[in-house]
Amino acid sequence: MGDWSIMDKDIKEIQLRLKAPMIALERLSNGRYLPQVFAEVAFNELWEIQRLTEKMIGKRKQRKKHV
Amino acid sequence: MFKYWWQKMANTRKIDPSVKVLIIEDNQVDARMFEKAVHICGFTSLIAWDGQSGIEMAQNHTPRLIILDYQLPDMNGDQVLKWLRCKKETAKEAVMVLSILDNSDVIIKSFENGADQYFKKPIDLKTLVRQITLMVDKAHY
Repeated sequence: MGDWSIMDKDIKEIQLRLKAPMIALERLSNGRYLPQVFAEVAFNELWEIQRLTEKMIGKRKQRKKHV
Repeated sequence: MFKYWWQKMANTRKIDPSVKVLIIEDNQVDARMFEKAVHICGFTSLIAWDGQSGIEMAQNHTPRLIILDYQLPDMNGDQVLKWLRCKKETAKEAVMVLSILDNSDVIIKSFENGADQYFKKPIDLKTLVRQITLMVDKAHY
């Protein structure tokens, strides 16, 4: 559990960045039009989430090495 | 070229003056341009110069489409959107947000509060006319 505590900041940022993709998915699942400008923003947020996830995995691996 | 396009638009458009489009914009030049676009589409335009009067007009006239400027003198676009979405009369009206800002936070906030389309200013008349027609038809929105 201790491993995760140092990653709280990253997790919170991921949560915040999930907002746009979630709205986009909700619109699509309701059969509504998804404007290009918003689709691009949501896609960029997903890239950022991927980057943060990779960073978190890297941190975990480093901690395991030290332990 | 522009004249040709205009004539083509005028011949193919479905003129329906009963369709109201509300423009909430404090800049006179932009408001006149939006008004022109609405008239090219063959719809009736209403103009509100600030957020408060925009909300009142939206409730009283129930327009099919609302063109909303993000930065208004009395409130910002998010506040207007929240008001519009919480009122029964305007909860499902199509809203197009226009702003000089194009950072992702503003775009996300707008869509979170119920915007249906977002454009960065300046926007050309041709795009605006096409979008107004699409949004009024509600084929995709």
